[in-house]
Amino acid sequence: MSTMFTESDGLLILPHLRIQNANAISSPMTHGFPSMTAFLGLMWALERKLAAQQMFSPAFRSFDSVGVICHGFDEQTTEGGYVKAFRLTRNPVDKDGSTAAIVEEGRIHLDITLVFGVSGGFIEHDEAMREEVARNVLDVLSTLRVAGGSVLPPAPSFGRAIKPELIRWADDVDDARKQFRRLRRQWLPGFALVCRDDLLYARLDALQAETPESTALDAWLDLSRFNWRPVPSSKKEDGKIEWQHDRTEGWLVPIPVGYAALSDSQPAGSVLNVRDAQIPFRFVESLYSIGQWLGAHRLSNAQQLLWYAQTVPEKGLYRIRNNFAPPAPIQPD
Amino acid sequence: MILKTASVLAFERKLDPSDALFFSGRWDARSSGSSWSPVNIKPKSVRGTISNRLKAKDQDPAKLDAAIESPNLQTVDVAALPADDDTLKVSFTLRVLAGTGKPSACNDTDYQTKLTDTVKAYVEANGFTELARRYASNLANGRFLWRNRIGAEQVEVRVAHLVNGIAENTWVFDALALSLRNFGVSTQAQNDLETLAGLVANGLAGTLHVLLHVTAYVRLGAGQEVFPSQELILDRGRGDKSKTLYQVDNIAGMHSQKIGNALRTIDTWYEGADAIDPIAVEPYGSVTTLGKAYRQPKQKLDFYNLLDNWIVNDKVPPLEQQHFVMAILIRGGVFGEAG
Amino acid sequence: MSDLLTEKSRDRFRTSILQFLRGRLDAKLEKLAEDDPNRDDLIAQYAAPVWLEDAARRVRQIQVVTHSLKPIHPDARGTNLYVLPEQMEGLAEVGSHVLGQDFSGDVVGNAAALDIYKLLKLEVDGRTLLDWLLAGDSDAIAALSDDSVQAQAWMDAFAGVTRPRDGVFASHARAKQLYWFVGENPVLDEHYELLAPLYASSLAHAVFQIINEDRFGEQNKLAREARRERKDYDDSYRSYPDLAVQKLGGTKPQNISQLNSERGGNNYLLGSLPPVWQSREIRTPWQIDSVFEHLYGQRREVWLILRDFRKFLESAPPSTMETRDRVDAYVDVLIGELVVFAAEFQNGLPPGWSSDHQCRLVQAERLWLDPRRAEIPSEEDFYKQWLWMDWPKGVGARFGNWLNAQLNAHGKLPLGDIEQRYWQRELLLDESQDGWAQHLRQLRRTQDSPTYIPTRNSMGEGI
Repeated sequence: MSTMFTESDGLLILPHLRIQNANAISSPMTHGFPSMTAFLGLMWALERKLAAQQMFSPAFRSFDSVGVICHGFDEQTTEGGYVKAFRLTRNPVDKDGSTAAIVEEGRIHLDITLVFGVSGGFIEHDEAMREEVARNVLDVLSTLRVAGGSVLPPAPSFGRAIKPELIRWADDVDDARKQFRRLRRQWLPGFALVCRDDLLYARLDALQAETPESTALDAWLDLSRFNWRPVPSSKKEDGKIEWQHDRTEGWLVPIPVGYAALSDSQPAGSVLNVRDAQIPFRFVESLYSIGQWLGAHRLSNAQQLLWYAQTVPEKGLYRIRNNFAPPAPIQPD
Repeated sequence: MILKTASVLAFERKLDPSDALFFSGRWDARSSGSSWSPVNIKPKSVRGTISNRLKAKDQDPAKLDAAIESPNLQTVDVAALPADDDTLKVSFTLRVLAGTGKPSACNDTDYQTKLTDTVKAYVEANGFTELARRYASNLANGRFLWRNRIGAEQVEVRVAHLVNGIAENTWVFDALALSLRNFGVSTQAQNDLETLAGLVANGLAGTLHVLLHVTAYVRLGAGQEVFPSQELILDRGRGDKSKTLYQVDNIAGMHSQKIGNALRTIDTWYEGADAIDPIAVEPYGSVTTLGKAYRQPKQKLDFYNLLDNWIVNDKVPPLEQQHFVMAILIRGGVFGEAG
Repeated sequence: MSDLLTEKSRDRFRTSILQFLRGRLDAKLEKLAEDDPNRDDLIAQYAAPVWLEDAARRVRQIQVVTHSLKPIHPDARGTNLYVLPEQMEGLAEVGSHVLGQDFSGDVVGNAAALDIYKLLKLEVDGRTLLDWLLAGDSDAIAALSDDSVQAQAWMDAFAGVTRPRDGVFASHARAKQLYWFVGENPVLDEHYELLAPLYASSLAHAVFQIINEDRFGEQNKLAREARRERKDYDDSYRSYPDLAVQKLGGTKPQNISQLNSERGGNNYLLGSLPPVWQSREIRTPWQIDSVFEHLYGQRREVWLILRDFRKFLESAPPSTMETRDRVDAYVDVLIGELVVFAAEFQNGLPPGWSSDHQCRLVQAERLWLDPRRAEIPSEEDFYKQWLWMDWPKGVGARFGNWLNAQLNAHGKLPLGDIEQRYWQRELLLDESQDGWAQHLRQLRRTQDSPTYIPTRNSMGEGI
């Protein structure tokens, strides 16, 4: 089971994908960008679809991890005001012609680069063949839903590389580093989502030092908002005082990071109305942590932006992880 | 073997249009790509007039005057061609996907096998010819323009088949020469329409990867109002706009759902269809704009009755209802028994 | 002695129950006239044994839950769960487990049976009647009825309120069910498990209360005013960027759940939005011959890197491999900033801006920062110059000169001498056949042809 990060032999890059109407509501408590779990799900679906095409045998090809760089987005929400509302597309109609229950589905258009950590013999091909492989992967991906959205054909625009690439890391460390620098510049302007569990724990420690009963929820909310405080040293003669907020550690956002079990794993076929009666089934809830949007040029290596799944069935933990910061403990101390 | 309908049954859509974007320019400049500028949406204040029935206590003439003095000011979005431009350009892409009848979720393998066999038999007997002809007609006749087609002096639709980003073939249609009421074809357009229909059919059958770029030029007259999609916003705040139009990157647009709805407006097989225009393929034949459903369960011509009879009870529906069922599978949706 | 205590405890439960029933009865009686013939019936209905018996029957119409299905989709029917947060795995992430003992249960099912939930929520000795019954507390059970068999039966019925109805787990076609890869080979079906996320009602309620208090509470209002007036204040002012609200259940939030109804169907969503490039205002570079000195060099990021770079060179590092790598890394970050900087002009200003008479930039910088001018039909020369690709080297040389001037005494870097290909690549102009350069060629070629013409790249536009 791939519960650890796999050092891949290469990268498969699908630059500037334009996704229309992706899910903007990433969990019951977050919105504004699809969940990274959706991109891992996409990676698995992609592997299956490629296998069905029989272009390469699975032994010859492995997708280990996925990263996403966001170049632009257009979330379908109302502008202005303290809270946003979602702009919906239509009033659905029931069989009697009356208006059906409206399910508020947030939508977002995206311009993203997808980066897969890949291994296997298929990256040992010559450049022409690798190019063909990459193009084929893009064709297959274009027929899939990406985080619920549709893939639009690419739009050549100045400064955007749009050619899919399959890259094998150079054997020489220096050369590999150069390869990465070129890539990371190509991802500009753009932001990579990385995981910052470490900041959640640090904030929890800080809160608990003041208020011992503080929880991870308090720390999470604290990091998700602006906390403005007066700065005593800034007091002027007229009594005016500066206020400062505490969001100085980069562009931090609350994100879903997988699922926690609510029930034991149920044997295949024992639960009614499941979409697949051949595999086990488990009720879960979303788990949350903190992510950071990092300018692509601030990445020092590919591993920093790649996400992978970590499953610990006995703890009921179905997590996605990213090793930008040192990996978190599975259980707090 | 007694078959039941799968309790979880879902299909992804096989005709996947993008949003359409609006541009403006001159009719004569249809072939000049760079002389088209985006149509912008502008907020506009309008005075709502007092037209609701007044309560008895408000019928005092002085009060009525006062009420008219302080009219009901609203802000709405509007979009129009600039004073110099007489033509609206609407463009979108359409991806045609293979795999009709292959569920994205189905929890009954026996049912799925039967379904697959049934679809296969339909395709072997009919291909996607009839459906593709209707979808292609709805591209060529500009039905996807909705209100923007009404009152147009001229409408030209160009459909390009994109291969690796390059237009491999382009067909040009005089949309107003094609009827919205039926799918009969003028001889003039027949060849092109058949070629286009063949392409769509190949895309659905999976023999070809089909991506189309559709551009419509609508000659409306300079400064005329145009009609992008309207957004639905629950719980508008006080003072918010009472009508919000759709835009992408400050370009007026039409939702992909609305384009999709027009393209699948091919159902002429419901009861009483002769009197009315084609309606969009929907499980109960519902038409949002009319708040009506034309395939009521009691008529046994709704999708669920037809599908169950066909798959589970081996009662093969008449050919035109088979077309309808296939069109629903192409539309996609969640159709489980438990739904 | 202990019997006496027990009796007292049982009585407290009983008093609570009787008070509750009395309160409900009084509320009903108030609406009836003094001589209404139904009064006696009503009084009889609210006698404890009668009401409890009825309640024990009706309680099956509702379920007390911590996790519910309907918020996922209002038409979904299936299992809802009551999972005590303190019994969940103590994970490091945020989830319902963080609530500990302090959580609000939610109720799903027939709203007409909500009165029973109110009974079960009666607080006795710091815990709810439901908690006591779930813990099998003998005093709480005994308080239900003097007949111990009867009491046990009712307790079973009431305690059953947290169990999924029908006794068997069910999901639904409208529920979310996602494949999670747990095996070795993603191609094999059996290497997956189905995960069905439920809505964490109790957790959502806790979050809602905190955010709502921050939006509408007095404390935060005072803090906001103090901040606006730049006055001292002994607490913080909290604001949530990009907060959104999602309506659950549309106009009928009560159809989703009790807590959802209490929230008016409002579900807060915290913002995870990425930052937007070009958030800073772009100054059109009028009246200057180069952007390096006046604009690029003034950027905070650039200035900070330069400061470090200078400090490093001042330390007179030995000429080793390591030093060379450090220098490379500094230059690399600066070029990265240069690309970001250029993109702001390239995408943020209207194509053709550099043809304005106020523009004094050297031609290489115009070609670099205003590339889409080459798309304009009348700009044939500009288009040809752009494609000639002579200019990236010019930009690179200017960058090199600028950088060397910044580093002055601390060592000259041979940046100006680097080949044109290098700069073409560094400035991200090394475009493939389907890139912008190709698009540009095709655009110019087909400007007057009657076939398909791409116009403006954007969401929804082809090619």
